[in-house]
Amino acid sequence: MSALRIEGIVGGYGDLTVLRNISFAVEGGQLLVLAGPNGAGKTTLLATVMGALRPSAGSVKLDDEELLGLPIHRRTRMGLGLVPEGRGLFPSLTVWENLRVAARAARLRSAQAEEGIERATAAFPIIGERLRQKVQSLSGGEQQMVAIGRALLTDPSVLLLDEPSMGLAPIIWQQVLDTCRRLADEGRVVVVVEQRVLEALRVADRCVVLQQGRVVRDGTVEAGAELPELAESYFSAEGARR
Amino acid sequence: MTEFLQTTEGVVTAAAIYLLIGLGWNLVYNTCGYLNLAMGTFYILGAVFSWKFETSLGITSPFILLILVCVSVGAIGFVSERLLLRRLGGNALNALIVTIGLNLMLLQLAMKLSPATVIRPELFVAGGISPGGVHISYQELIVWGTATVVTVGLFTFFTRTDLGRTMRACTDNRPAAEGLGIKVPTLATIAFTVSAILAALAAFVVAPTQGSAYNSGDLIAIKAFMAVSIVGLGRNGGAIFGAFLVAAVEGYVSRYWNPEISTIVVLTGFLVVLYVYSVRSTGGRFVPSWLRIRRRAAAAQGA
Repeated sequence: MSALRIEGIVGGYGDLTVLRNISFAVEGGQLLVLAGPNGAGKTTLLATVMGALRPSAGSVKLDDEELLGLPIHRRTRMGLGLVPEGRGLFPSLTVWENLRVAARAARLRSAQAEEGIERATAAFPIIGERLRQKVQSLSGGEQQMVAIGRALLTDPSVLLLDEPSMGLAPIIWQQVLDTCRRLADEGRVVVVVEQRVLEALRVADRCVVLQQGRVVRDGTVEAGAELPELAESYFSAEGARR
Repeated sequence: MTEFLQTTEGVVTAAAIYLLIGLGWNLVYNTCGYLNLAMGTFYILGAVFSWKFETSLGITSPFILLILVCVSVGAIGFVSERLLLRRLGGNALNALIVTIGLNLMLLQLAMKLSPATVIRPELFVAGGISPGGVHISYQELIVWGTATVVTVGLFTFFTRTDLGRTMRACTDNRPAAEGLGIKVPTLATIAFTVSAILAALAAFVVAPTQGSAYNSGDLIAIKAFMAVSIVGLGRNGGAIFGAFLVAAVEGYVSRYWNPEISTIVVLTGFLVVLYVYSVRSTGGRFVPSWLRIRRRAAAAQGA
């Protein structure tokens, strides 16, 4: 089982410190929901883990291997996959082209790229039927499937999803959550950053709440028993900002 | 009829040139997100270097000249992008200003290398064909062929190769491309260098038929810009239509109306295109507000 360990991360954008000593670890097979009010540092943390931002202190380890200092494509090949906020797709490219570009960006060879595309289409047969269609012609749910499928190209052991519910109808959002659960059950680490936190918690194993760049809560979620308390923590955090 | 066909033959040659330069405009715009206002001088450097290598070094082989011109202009484009434009971090306005400065610098280089008069490198192949009484020189056929090969080549590159698809992805969503680990600055360097080579290639093939003056590049580049702007900047398919439209207006107005006003007609069309774009981009209306108010008042009086 793989594991993602974040230890003492301090970082942000230039002189602006957003993350203040963040530490937690996630084991394979776990689905973790990363919650918190706007500006808590959730997206910044994902960007730091993926290598788009460089922290000033701390470490990020995948299976005891340090990731800090490695370029994004190396991290992708080592087993990190990201579904960015807003999906990060290329609208005028076809589904196949979107997958292919991502595969080549991860420095996969042509044959490996095709294997990855097969893996993505096996996980989401609907995108297999839309391979020659331009992404801008797909529905929001289908686009989200493409975004998740793209993250699966390298068969990642850690999958990070940033606001996957954005723009999705409730029924599609539930399908995405079920997919996340399935991917975690296959042994992956799945980290979901989400505003619609209560729905996400129904399929999650654990929840970490960030507030002003710090972990203010880290606990398991047992069949929604702790949801009211968590919701209070979440909204009171937001209220504190106001 | 022969006169019309002969004019059309000139139109096709001009369209080929506008297309080559226009594809360069598109390439930089699509990949780097800014306009390269030095395109006109990159164009003229193609003719100037060709003439200089021919007269100073005595090189007459078109193939060797082609390689030397592409390498020389490509090197200038490469160095310019790496030293000047890459540092701007994709800021379009700053890049625009820097390319104006670059244009002035390169213009000085072109002036130093070429005499004040019009330069005309040797024809690659003398002679021509005359189907139906219309004379088409072999050199013009080379111009047409070059434009066709480059257009088909670029189309194939962007749709069939991983690098081409990646460049289109950067155009679509640069932050997402960077998030995947794509090195966008490297692609920008490639695009800028290739666009400079395309402009130089246009002058390299056409200068032997028409001649070039060191300061004539900007007007041609503006016409090429107009050609690619008509359907929408960045669309290579539209660039083909635009290149033929601009060349046709210019050619037929020159032949059947007045040669002295053909450029004025084209530039007026350019202003119209700019006006339409500025109105569309700001969400405004095509009829100015003062005229709408006057119309409304007249309608009220009529009622």
